[in-house]
Amino acid sequence: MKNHKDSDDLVTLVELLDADKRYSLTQLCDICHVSQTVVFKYMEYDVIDPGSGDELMFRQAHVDRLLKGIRLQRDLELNHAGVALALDLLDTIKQLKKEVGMLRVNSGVKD
Amino acid sequence: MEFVDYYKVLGVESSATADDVKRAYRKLARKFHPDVSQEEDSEASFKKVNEAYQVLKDTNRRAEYDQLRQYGGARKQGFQPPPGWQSQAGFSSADHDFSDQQEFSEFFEQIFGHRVRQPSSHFAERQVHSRGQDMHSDLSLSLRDAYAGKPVTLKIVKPVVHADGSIRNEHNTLQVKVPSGVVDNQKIRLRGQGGPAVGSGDAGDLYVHIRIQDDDYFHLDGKDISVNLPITPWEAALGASVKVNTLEGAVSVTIPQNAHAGQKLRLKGRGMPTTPPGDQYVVLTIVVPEAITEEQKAHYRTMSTLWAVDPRQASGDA
Repeated sequence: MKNHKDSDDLVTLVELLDADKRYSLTQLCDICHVSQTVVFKYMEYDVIDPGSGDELMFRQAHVDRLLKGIRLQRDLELNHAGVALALDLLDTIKQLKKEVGMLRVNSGVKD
Repeated sequence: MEFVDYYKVLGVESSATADDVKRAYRKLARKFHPDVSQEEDSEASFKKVNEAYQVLKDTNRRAEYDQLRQYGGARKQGFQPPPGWQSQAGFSSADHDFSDQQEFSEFFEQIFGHRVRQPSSHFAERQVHSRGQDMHSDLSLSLRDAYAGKPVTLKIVKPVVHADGSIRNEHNTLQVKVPSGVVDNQKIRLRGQGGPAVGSGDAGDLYVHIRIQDDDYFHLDGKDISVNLPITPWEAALGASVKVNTLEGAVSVTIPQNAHAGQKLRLKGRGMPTTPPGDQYVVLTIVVPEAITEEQKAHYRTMSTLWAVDPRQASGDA
């Protein structure tokens, strides 16, 4: 096993995780440390929806959402339906907060 | 090192049953989970709760912890495990509960973190090969370094497997060449720089959250950059060609005639080198020279007769 303790080598394998990046199913599994079965299960419950196409391609948002789902499942002992519901509700809350923020700015109300 | 009372963290009595412990954890996990929580500092709180649960939910670990709690719990400060202490319950990265977890406290490490990987354990028979854990870190970069993609030193603490099989957290430095054109709040992934693998698995990855510091001169907004450009009233009125600094060096900028303060000029493609690149905005500020000599004052007086303007006309309270 490689010991990185004295590693002063320049790390060159640096990936920029921007919104335009696309991942294949294999890459997604690799990043999230899960098997394809797990990914398909999450797709079945609509936690992530990469759309239809000849080849499945995932975006950074899918990666983030899948990782979030896995964490919620692990730490809060949720099932797939529970994860899907929690993530949808979190999205709704985020959207509502944004709208409230904008309304506050427009009406001059301070926090 | 301070003794951490895991029972207190979970808000249960030391006589609590396994079910009580589980119930307390579930309640606190829902409250503090960083993905759902609205609480301040939820991440740190969740780590404490999680750590306490990892110890108290396991009968063997809990028994060892109880022993130490009797030994050292009374002295809140300067806690050290008894000499020669070695956990039998311990943890290793082969332990599934721990493989995905984030780092634990120094206290936890002292008690459970020095376990030697026993080849005789049941994991060995099952030939466990699992990937090392992913790790997360923050990196603060100067705007100029981010633009240039200059190699920077990243300091991290990560678990290292030693020759005797024990796992300990160690300080580690990495030279990282952040791709030029990284923007604020972006994440990068360093493959294989996370936690060590178990068996013949791969090492985990290191995710780095990039924060770009504001610069005295260049201000970053997404992938665009803005700078203030002070000009004189006559440059504003007559137009001029002036030098403006960009991150790539100085360029000539034409100030249009009758330019006004706050006017923005766009230098296309002179922002952060993303694909496509951002722009640089030059915001004009007009600097009014002081009238000190009699001749200068005379010029201002002449101007006041030449322009019969009232700049306060539209301000409503003149």
